[in-house]
Amino acid sequence: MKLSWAVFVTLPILFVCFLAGGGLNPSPAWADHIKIGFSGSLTGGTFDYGQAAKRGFELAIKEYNEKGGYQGHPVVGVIYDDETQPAKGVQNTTRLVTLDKVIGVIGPVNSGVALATIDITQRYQIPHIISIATAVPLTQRYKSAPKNYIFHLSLVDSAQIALMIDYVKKKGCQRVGMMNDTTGWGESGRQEALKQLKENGIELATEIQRFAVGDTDMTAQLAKLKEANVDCLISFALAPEAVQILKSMDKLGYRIPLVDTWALLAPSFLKLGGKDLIEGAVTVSSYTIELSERSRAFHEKVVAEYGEDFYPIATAQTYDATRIMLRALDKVGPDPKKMRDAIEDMDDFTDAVTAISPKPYSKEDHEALGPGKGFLMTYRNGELVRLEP
Amino acid sequence: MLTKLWQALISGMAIGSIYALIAQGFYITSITTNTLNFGQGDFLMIGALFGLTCYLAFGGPSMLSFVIATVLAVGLLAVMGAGLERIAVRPVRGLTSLSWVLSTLSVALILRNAAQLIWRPEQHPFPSPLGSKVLRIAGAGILPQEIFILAVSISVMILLMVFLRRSLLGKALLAVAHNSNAAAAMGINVQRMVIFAYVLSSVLAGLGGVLIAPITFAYAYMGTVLGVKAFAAAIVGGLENPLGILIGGLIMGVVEQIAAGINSNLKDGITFALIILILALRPTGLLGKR
Repeated sequence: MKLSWAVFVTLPILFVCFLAGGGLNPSPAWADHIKIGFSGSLTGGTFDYGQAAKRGFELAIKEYNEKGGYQGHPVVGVIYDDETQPAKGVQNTTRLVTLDKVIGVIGPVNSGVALATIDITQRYQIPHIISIATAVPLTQRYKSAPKNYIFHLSLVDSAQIALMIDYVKKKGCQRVGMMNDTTGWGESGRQEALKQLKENGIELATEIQRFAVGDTDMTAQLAKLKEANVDCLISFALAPEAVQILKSMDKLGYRIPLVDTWALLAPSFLKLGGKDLIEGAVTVSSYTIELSERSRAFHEKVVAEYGEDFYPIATAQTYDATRIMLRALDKVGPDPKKMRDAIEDMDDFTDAVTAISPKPYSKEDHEALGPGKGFLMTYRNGELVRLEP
Repeated sequence: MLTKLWQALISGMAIGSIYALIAQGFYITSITTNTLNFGQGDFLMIGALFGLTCYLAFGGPSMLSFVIATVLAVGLLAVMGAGLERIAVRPVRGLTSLSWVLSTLSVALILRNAAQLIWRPEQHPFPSPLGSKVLRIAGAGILPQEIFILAVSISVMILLMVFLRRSLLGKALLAVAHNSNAAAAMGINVQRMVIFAYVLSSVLAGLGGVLIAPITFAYAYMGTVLGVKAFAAAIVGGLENPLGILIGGLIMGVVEQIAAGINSNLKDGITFALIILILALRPTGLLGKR
């Protein structure tokens, strides 16, 4: 009976510890240093973006410190995993701004998580550059506040969707269908797409089909599209579900052009689907390692540091975002409020590896990558290639 | 319309047989100990990921390496089943009636975390030993692996029934289920039978893992939703009858597909409304004892 009680008592405690997760880490010893925070999904649904983003963050800080840091003081990067959970993201961000006293925040990866965290950085007046998440409201929520602390360095959903609709038009599709997953990202993408389709005078051939993350068979939804003679599919699916959509198309013997967001840039799309299945799938990007001399050099650097560059766009965007933050630190010192102004006014960011301009932001516009910066890509024989207009 | 319904039926049976295969694991421990492993889905996940590691180590897509991987995964899961019974079920069984729910769930969470560390959080492709070429049954598409799962699901159900009714060990297991005191008086080692039930249930999870991973991919969270749906299938079919569980799983899968075809927004809504209806009419499930 003794053992029984021990287990009875310890198991719930273990359970609680697991729920608490990383929240029990001891306070770091570098409490006096200048710190910049990163909170993103290192595990969970969008972990691959997060893992790649973390590299960009680390690399930018490492280089900064190698060049002497801020007036001789190294800058410390504090990294937390939000497990792709909004609640965890809120916890991390609160911890970053209140306990770690960071002067700037980079991340989150997932739009749902990001939308939950920006209220904190805005309230505590800490500049926050979101380098992966793509939701439209990220920069819009505090647009009319006296000072908007939220900046964005990732091709915003509305710009991605404009490109996707462009593709459908150029392709000459007569009957457009749409599918989306039931996450916050999928639902907000659907709404934005509906709005833009309407502006373009395109009507959907049949009602929008939905699926849940983890669904393995989409034949029922696709059969409906087939019945309506849909000849082009706009989808908001992450890579694993996009693979399932294509597999289900094969089951129905009904392969139509599929255009999705940059979710299909994820390396897992090719890995899970194989090159034959994903041939011709269309996706959106704003970056390739061939974009410029600097992006090629950056790619070499990532490979030299980590052995490979598995998700170039996520690493590059976070690298630039972190460097913008550090540039602002150089200009005005470790004062978050002044840094925010410096980021907004910055006009000499001439060595970006991504496609952002030397003046990424302005008072009205906190999007560094506007509609003009994106382009369509497709898979040919397992390679991502630009879809020439 | 008819082809659409036919495809929904075929696809639904493919998915339903996955639910049924997982759900058979609930049955064995439920009848012998009145407890379930609520981490059945996560045991399955370990089977899939460990199986995948072995599969690739023995050269990847071929029937031989698949069989080796299955044997090794099943072996590991057998040990885990015995361990689960010892550390998470036996100490709390009979203490308060529901402690085992929490303790098996705790083990599941620990496994999920461990799997993320060992196999990373990503989804891994598990190439089917039977290839990925779509087969056609009167026009409806199905993957060879899905037919394989359906066949195994039915075989497992038959084997379970034969084993319990015909073999000495199976009869002993049923005797413990029926009345453990009387069984003990007849010289049956009840404790050993309980361990055996957990081993058998976990073995089925291991088998399920390697079988379904080619369809679902292998990853740390693969068992979460599947475990819940399998549990629903077991309840619908009747937790006391392997045939009922098979039928419950197939019904769940087919209804899901038909519901998605009617309106994809209502897929889960329609499915679970049907479950409530069935349970209202037959509280012990379709083939459960009244």
